[in-house]
Amino acid sequence: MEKRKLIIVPAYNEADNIVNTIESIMQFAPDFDYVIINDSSTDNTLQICKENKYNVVSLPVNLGIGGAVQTGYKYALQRGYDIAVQVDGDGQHDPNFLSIMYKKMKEEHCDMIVASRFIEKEGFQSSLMRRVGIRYFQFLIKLLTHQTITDPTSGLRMINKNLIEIFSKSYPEDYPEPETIVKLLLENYDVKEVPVKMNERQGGVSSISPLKSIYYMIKVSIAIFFQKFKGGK
Amino acid sequence: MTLTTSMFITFIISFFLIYIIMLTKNNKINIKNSLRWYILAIILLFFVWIPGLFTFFSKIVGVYSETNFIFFIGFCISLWIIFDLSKSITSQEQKIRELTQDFALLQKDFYDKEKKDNKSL
Repeated sequence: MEKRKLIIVPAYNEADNIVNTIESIMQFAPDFDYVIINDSSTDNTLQICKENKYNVVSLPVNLGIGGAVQTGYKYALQRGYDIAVQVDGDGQHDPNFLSIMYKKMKEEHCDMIVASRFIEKEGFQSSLMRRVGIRYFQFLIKLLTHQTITDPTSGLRMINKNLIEIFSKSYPEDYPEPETIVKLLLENYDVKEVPVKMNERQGGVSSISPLKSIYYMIKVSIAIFFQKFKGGK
Repeated sequence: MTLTTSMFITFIISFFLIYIIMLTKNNKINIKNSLRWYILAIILLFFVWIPGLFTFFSKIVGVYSETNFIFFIGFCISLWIIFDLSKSITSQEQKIRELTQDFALLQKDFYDKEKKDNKSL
């Protein structure tokens, strides 16, 4: 039986990008269902979704990226999806790669597939500062789990049914990507990467400002160490 | 500690106690959350009016002045209260998150059902 696959699109003030994102999902990943999680946007993201009759779940108050994506996982769990993948609403993630990710997941029976910008080093490579941060997380993950994840901050991640259930129960509030990868690796889940090309965001603003990036580094480092401290299965 | 200091501190604490009792009476603060404040107020009152207690503890902790000791006690209990608030904020954030998500998903179910019903009409 064909597996049911869901794309989760967290969107906060993505009025400029949401139409492009959804149209390209419908065009390039037609065998996936999608759901937009409108994280209480203050612009007209919700209105645009409604006008276009997009499938949208709208949070009444802003929860941040972690809470929004978790809502998507809960939706997936409730409606019995086998696979869930997060695709950001800002146009950075190309839906063309979803079938490649799915194929790899099916062939290798992994629990999570992370789309990595840094395996083939093609496409938008992010700013220098961002890359330094990513290198640091790579190092930290290698140190604590002895495994290499080249793009630990990638938001484009596909997970199986088991992880949908786990993430529905508990998911970090902000900057969840590196933290959850460490958790999964320490608990002996199978996390694999596939090379992808990412685009520069097409509009709107990134959620991480320079000042916030310092908070990001500190918070995620502490979270990662706590994961290690808690220990694996 | 001079009599003036003792009177002054007692006056402030009494005023505060009356205020917090009124709030409790009007359900503006619940007993669970105000309990620490009562404890803080009563401990401070004890120390102000029993000088022997004061000298004894000051010596143990190694604080020179008794007045400083009373500020130190107040400071420690305040930190305890603030820390407890951080814990309580975390638990409330988790509850709000859960509620928000479940509400949004229920609302979605409701809309979907309504849409389906409208179609079948």
